[in-house]
Amino acid sequence: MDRSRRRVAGLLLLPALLVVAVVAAVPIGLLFRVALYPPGPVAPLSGGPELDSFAGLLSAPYPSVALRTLRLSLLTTLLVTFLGFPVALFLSRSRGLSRRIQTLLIVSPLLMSVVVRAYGWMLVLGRQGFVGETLAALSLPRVGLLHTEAAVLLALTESFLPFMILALAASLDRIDPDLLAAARGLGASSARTFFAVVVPLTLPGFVAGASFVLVGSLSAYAVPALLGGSAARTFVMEIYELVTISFDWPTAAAASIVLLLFASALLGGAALLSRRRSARTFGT
Amino acid sequence: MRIALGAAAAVAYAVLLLAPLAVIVYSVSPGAALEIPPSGVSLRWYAGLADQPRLISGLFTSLLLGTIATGAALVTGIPAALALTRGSLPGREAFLAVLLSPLSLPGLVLGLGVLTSAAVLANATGIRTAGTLLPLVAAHLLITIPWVVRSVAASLESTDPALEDQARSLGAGPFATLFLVTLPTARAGIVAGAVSAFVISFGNFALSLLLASGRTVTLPVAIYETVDRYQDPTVAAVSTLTIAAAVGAAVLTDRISGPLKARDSSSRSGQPAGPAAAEPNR
Repeated sequence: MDRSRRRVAGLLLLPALLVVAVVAAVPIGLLFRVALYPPGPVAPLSGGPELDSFAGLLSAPYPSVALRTLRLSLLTTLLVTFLGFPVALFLSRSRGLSRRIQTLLIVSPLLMSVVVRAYGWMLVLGRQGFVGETLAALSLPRVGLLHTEAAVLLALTESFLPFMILALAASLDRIDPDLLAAARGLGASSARTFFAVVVPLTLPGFVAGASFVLVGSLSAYAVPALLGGSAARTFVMEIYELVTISFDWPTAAAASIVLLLFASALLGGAALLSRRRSARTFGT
Repeated sequence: MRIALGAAAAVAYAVLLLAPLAVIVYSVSPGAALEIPPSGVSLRWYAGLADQPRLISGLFTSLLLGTIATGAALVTGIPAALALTRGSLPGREAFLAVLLSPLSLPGLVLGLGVLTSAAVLANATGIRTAGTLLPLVAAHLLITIPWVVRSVAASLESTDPALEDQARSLGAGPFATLFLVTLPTARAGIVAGAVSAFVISFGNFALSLLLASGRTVTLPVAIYETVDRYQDPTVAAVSTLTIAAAVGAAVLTDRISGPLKARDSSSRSGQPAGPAAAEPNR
């Protein structure tokens, strides 16, 4: 009975697993193979296998672009954490209609296309946009923030804020109210309770949220392309131009592999961190 | 303390509302230039959509693609969720991690991989998929399955398997139990999963960018190409329609399955289903 049940379960899983194999595993494997061809706009691909296309990533402009991308991602993570934490606290303390409306406000942006939201930021930040026109209407000098790193940072923060709020709020909701009552009963001030009990208990949510925001902002394309343009080129923008403008598929594939490995290392590290933490907390 | 938190939340919500509001305001502006303060309200850019074949064709492509991807994701995702929750499989967590892994892959990189696969397939077998909807359908299916699996599995986990055992002991066959007991009790999760899947496919950009060409250009890609080149409130008009659809989808899932309020009671165990369960990297 149990064996046949397992066999049925295996059969039910098969189609979904096949999709992951054919549409994710095989393509990524092929990218590995393409990255081993000699770099350059050559078709059909031949020669190799060699690591020249990976070596090419060590020369300009890639290191500085990678650094800028990393800096933007770290700053985005920092900003969504500091902006998201009070919101998550406020949300977790709200009940009823207020909570439903807030959740709607947080979730709705996630359902809109990232292109539409980036377009909205273009309209807000452009010289002829809302900020520029408002300044002009007040007879102040027009300032356009479009095509700056600051614009990219602002829009990235907006696009990842909902994820961080939801991740932190999930952690906050799991806190047992008795724990807080116990801390208070043992004489801790409300500030001490907050920093010694509440904040440490949100770490799992923070780790999950922060790793997602880091990887997501490293991989973002629409926001940096539309709001930064040539003023804030990111690693993924380079990959896109390697494919569509230079036709250098081996280098594009090598850059993709580097990004994938880096993202996997980040996510793996975060998973390890949260597992070790929970092991320590629960003594297993 | 509570006032300070409320102020911080108000700032955050304002930041989240700013971009969609800008699109909506621009879409009803009387002229092509943005005016502060606005001199009036006009719907001419919505009527003007009829003269934008790329945006219209993108809209229909995205609707078609979203429908196909959602249907296929339900057909593959619901059985997978059943296997994960009712199958007593060893390594259940590992299977779940594999099925959810596409969510953390960089979209553009995945698109490049799928494009490469299509080229290899064409070289090896002569089957040309370039210019058809097939690569896009495959790619969208990959990233919509996780939403269906997560939402349906959460729904199945919160229902009592004893109900199914009772149905069996009363003489119902396995299929009757599945279709008359198991799936109806998971209805909320299925609906939420379907809405999430459609919304994710409809709005996807990075994954579609390299795969869309000619007649298969999706709406987000068409919008991207248009705003990149010139200012035009018709783009704001079509974008406003998608914003309205997104808000509608959020309200709809809230109404049907209540996932948005599921976290309301801390006593309820299990994950909430639907878009609100956008808990990254579980």
